[in-house]
Amino acid sequence: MKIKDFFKSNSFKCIVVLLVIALVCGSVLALANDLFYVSPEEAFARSMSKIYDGDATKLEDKIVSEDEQVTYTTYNCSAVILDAQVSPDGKTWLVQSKGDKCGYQGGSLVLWVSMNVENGQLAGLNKIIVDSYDSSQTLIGSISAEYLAQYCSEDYKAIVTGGRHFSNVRMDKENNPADSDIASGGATYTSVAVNAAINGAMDYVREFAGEGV
Amino acid sequence: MKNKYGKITLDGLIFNNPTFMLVLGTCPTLAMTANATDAFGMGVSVLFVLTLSNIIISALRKIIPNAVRIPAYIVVIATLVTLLKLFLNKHIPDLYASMGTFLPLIVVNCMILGRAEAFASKNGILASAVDGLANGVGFTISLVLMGIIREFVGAGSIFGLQILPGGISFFSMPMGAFMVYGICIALFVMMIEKVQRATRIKKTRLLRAEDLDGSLAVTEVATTAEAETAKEEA
Repeated sequence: MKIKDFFKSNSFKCIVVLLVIALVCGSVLALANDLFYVSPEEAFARSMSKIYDGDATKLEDKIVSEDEQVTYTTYNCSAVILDAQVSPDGKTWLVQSKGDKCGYQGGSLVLWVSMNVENGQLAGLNKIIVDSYDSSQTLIGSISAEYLAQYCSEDYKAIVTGGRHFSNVRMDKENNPADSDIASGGATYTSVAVNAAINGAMDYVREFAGEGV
Repeated sequence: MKNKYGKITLDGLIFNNPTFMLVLGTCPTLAMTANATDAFGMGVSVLFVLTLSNIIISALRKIIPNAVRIPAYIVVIATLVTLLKLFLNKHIPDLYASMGTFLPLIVVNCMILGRAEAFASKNGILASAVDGLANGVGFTISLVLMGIIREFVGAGSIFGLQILPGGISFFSMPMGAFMVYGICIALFVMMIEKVQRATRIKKTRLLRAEDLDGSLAVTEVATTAEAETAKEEA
């Protein structure tokens, strides 16, 4: 078959038609991808919406820039406040706190700590969620939100309102026999980082809750 | 002309209903009818893809060579499904999450490819659009009907609105889906057959009446003609 014949053949027509269709469809999808792009902020808002049963859209940024990051230290561990969100009525606070380099093998972990505020005072812990952790934090990855939720019961309201520091997340079998599948002896560093991150979040709310957004 | 579109619409909605008469798109029918809301979401999604794919394929039917028509249809359908996926993810994330893997699976829904191959590739744009709409609406109605039945019997609610305190959870499960589907098909076919029989009887009666009228008229004409000839003869 000559080249000229090929260009006149049905095979060439098939290739061209399929290429054109694929090209047009690809362009449309590229445009649509930009148009319907879900930004990380939007995805975050949706995740928060699930945590707060649909009320997360009411949360507004309290701290966004790195310059405004605040550090609190407990148990010789620094907790860096990365982000904070608060509902317009000022009653729900969500703080992203990092237990900085005090976990296992100097690892860091980031938690989201949700708290209630009444009359400008910290009133209780709602939820603690693991946001991220570095690879050296071998145990924290197996800690579920359910596990951390047990530390947010009414029993800890006294600690919160009394201004004392949180020291309940202990990852060893003796203190948490019910969680034998995830708790492990010797995970002291990780629990220090968890507790420090929670304390940092609580201290932050104690300091700024009266100010509102 | 009107009759043509009317016939296409009735075929898509009732006489060739994709779910109950042709038993097409069974996978989403069984999986997405545990509640009416999800069933409606799936139905509308298919309606959107089916109508647009029919229109596009009908418009391109003279350009696409016969040898590559199936890959071309699949590319068009896949593009529409991806568009829908992006839209739902952006604007209706709950529905997007609840549809899960069944949303991308619309690409291989035999009903959509079937309509493209059987109708859109052989008919004009308007007729194909009407066909897509009718089949899509027929599919949506069937799904919603099954969703309502399964949600009501299985959970005691309709569109999330609690009516009874509880239900028989069996109907929310896949076995219940098969059972409800079977019952729905049986009832639908029975109903259609009854309607068709009644129409047939009516038509036969009309034809007979026309025949009788015709013969009477013929007799009258004959009598008049005979009388006239007799007069002339006299």
